[in-house]
Amino acid sequence: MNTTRIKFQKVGLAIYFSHLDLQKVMQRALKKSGLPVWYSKGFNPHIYMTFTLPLSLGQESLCESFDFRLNEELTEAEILKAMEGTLPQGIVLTTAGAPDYEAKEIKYAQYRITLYGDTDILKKALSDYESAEKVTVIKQSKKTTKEVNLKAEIRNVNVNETGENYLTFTALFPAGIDYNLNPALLVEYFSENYGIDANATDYLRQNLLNEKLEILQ
Amino acid sequence: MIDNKLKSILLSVQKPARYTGGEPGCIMKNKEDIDVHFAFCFPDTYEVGMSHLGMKILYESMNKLDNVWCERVFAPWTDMHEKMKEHNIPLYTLESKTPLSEMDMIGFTLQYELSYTNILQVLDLSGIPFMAKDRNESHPLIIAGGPCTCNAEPVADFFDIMALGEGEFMNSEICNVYAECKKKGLSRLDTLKELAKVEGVYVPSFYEVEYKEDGTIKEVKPLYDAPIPCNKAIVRDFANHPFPTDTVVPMVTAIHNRAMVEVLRGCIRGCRFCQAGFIYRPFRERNVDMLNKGAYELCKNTGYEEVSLTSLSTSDHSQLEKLLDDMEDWTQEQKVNIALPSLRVDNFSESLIEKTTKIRKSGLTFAPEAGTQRLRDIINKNVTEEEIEKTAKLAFAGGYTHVKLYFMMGLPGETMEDIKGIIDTAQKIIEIFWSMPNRPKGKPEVSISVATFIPKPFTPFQFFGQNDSELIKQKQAYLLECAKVNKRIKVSYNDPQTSIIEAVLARGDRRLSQVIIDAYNGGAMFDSWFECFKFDVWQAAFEKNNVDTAFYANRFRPYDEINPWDHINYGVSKKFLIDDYERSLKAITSKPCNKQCYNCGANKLLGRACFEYNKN
Repeated sequence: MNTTRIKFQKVGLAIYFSHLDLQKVMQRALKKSGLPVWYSKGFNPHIYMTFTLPLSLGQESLCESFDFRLNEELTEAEILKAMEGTLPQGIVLTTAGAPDYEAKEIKYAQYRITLYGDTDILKKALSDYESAEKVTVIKQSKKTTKEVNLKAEIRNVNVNETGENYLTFTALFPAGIDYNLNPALLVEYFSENYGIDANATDYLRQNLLNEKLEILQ
Repeated sequence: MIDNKLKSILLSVQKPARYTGGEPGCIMKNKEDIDVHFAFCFPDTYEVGMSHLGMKILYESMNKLDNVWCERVFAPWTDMHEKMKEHNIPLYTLESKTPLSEMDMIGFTLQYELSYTNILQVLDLSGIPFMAKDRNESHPLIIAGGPCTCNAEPVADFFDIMALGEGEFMNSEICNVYAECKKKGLSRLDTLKELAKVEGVYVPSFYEVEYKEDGTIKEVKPLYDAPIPCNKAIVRDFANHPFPTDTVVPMVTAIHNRAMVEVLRGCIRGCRFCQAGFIYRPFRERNVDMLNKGAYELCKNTGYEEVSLTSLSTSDHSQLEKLLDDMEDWTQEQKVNIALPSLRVDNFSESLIEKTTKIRKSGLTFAPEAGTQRLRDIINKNVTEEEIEKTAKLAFAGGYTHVKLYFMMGLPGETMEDIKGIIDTAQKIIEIFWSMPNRPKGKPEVSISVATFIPKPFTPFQFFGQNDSELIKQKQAYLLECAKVNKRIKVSYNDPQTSIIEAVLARGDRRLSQVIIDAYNGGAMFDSWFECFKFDVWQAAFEKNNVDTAFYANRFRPYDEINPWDHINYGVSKKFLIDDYERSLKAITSKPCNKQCYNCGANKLLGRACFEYNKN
């Protein structure tokens, strides 16, 4: 039994379906591929799959991955070939092989975020944020509601590019199995205070990083 | 493709993947390579439409043609509808995101009458005039298909053509003829004249309807040599006709999200209330080897973990058990479940239940339809008390504890005794459970779902006047009263108000088109969705147009009256329907088609007898 990790991008049209839908999509894709996938034993055999880090609906990513098990040892080329034509538009497989890091190593996700709106307002939003001591927002989960100081959690905010009616910046957001901060929280803060259309925002998860801020590949 | 404005809207509505396409199995072509750009529209939500087998069949058969691109479109849910209106975004196809107004043809499938306002919604969001007469050369041809076209007279004025019957060959032929006409540069009218020659094509504007003073139809006159009656199209060699072995697999979960294989078409039963049982005649079953191989391919190509053997009555396939045995060979290995909807109480054998329960155990559903034997004989639901009891025993012995029963009320010849009989049947089933030494653990539950009967065209009950809502309410109250006998009996029934609209539209005529327009303009949409149905809007539309709903719904229609659908031929003759209605009045049942032929006329479409009777 060989645990295998497939890495993929979720871009373009694929941002419009949820993580839950993605799980079903991958399950069917593995079934279609005809790969010798390992099924759990028991009354209701199913494919055993673990997704590294869920991605919110509406966000793109270059660094998604999931693990599953194969009954035989296969090369990366064989796996990728078998998976051809099994996926929806916007899901692009990049590599397949043995898992290279453990999910618990993930501490940060690097995002590139493009905001749309009046350039001056966008610039002001970012510079206000950078000079603020504390930026508190309400983080709601299914069970709890709590205050979060974004300034203490988000690292390395860098404005990359500003143009007519847009502004692009990158930043590191806490991520991993213990704690996550959705970048949408920051964008919603901008939206509430500067009237930016949160839904028009482009999100691209570029990299996952460990505690030492090294990129996990 | 999707610009920032649309993206922002998509991310502000529920389930945006309903509107984005790109699913595995969806077909992409180049607009430059095609002659006919066809939008197939299911006028309900994505999840409902993507569950529909007919759409998958026609999507595949049309896209097989190199010069045709068939794309999909669904009715945007109310949240998306509002956003599209607000931001002036025209409705677009899922594959290429082309605005509908730029298509060559838009084909609507009419599966139920309560979707009619959504036709107007789709046209409205596309900026296309509702009435065919108001459209010009710049507009797409608007086509209707599906079961409701057997009497789609209430929406006839909205359509340029209607495709009657089965579309496998007809739709392709329509595309071919259209492509020819387009090449020749024919006018819209001349194109319609050419299309009218295609078997199954009905051009509503080629038939003039004249009414009498009492509101009934005086005469229907064909123009331009249009055929009268206009016959539906069928697939004659259904046994060997291929079916889709690859389909679009939705990401947003469809209601029936599984592989579907159509094992047979038509129905031998002749239940007198059932429109499908008559309009899909003649009965034809598919070759078992083809089904088995096709089902295997379909599961392999889609990755589905469940395959459903669908039809009006799957257990009537003469070789169902062989098919299940053949499929077992690979379904077990591939970890695919087999689902068997539409089983009948009277031939639900022990080995069948064994084969299905091996797969999954949950609730079991069957449909006695009426509560007493006398009424079941009237409606020709040939199921006996003993058979219902036998099936309940089988189900309980097989581990089921929850049984769901479907009934109707408002049937011809129905009395309060028959209403009580519904509860008696449920009570009997509960008693059977407790009397069984080998019953499963737990308590039994019997859910009863009672629908209001709606008389439909091309059934023997097409003449019958629907019970008015007062009477239905009395019957519902009495049913609830009777149900107090046992709290393990759960009763549900539908709102009589939706039944009125459905009844009016089902047997309506062309004078209702303005009512539908007024209802839509008043805010009616997604009428089959409980949360969207607005009876007051419909009432206002009826009043504004001086339409008496009782004229359409509750009036007995004399045999010699010209019905709005009499110039259309779905195979069964009016004479047969009268004869069968007469039989029902005397509570005389008819045998299934494979045992005795009652000369309904559907075999004429086939050009031969439906069964080899000397063999039986």
